[in-house]
Amino acid sequence: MHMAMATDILRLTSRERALTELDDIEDLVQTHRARLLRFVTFSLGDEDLAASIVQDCFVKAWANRHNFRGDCSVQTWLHSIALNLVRDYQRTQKFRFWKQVRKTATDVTEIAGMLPSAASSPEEQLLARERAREVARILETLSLNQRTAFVLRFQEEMDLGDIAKTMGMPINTVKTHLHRAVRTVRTRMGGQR
Amino acid sequence: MNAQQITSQHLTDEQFASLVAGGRRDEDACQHVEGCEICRRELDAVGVAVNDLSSFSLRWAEQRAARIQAPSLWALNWKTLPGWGATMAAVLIFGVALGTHIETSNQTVAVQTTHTMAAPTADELAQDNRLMRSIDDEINEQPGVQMAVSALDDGSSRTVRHHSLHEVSN
Repeated sequence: MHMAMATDILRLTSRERALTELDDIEDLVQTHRARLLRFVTFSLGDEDLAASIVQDCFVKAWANRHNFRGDCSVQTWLHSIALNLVRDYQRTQKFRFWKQVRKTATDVTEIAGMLPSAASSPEEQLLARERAREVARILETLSLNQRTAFVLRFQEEMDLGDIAKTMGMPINTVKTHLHRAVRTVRTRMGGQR
Repeated sequence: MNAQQITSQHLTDEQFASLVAGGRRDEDACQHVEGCEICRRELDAVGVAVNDLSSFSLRWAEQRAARIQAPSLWALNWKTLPGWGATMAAVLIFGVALGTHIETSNQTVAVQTTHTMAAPTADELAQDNRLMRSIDDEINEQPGVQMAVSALDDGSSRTVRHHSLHEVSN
């Protein structure tokens, strides 16, 4: 009884805190834009389109901030909105007969080589870039669900419960997508199994 | 799981994913990695590559995300206006514009009408009368043409028209 009440109070407090965070649109954008941009760019492979979707994501989050229940973090909630926008976009694209080759398409493997790391030697930087490129190349071959699960787990460092909330799927389904993605990465990187 | 099983079975995808993500709760998996050179090398290779991609891509995103600015409150309010609200606003704007346009047109017509009514002078009237009279005279001098014109006007057949023209030529 007391435990349940304490949980409810905690949830209410976290909801209020989150609502305050969501009210300040400037701060919200500053805090989350980079991670959201990375996530959407990995999902769609188009930087300009990703920026536009991230912008829409903030507008949608601000408009629906009173519907936020507080049962997950603001970051998880924003990622779920962004993922829904990505899915909407892909759904509309599927029915287009003439898919144009986008001029702004981003090769996500290029992201890996964008900036040098100041902490390591040139040789180490080169190796690190090559390793990162290889993973990015493999990610491009995965399905959207597998890629999303992989990116949320290893880049956004979410736990499986939050990934399930973001993707709107049961945890076991998320596990299946994640393990298939991991198996592909292991195999393609020369794993023994 | 006994010691022999731990070393003979390589990591499952689930264990592998957990270890790449930094989880150390699975003691069996940790124990296996300590004793298995193959899995340790594989885990190191994938783990380092995933971390590299994560750090590079975050730095890339931080640089590129600067162009994403917080939308203004006006834009937020406009974009979040409910569908019916936006429709009402559009109808209102269109209605006001249409009303203004109609009012302006009416004023222009009224001015033009007034201008037309006030314009004719005695000289102009006399000139018009002279012109009309000359037309009447011309028509009266050529009765065949009058017939032909009347035949065309009442929508009769081509034979009638031909006949009338024949009369004119005679």
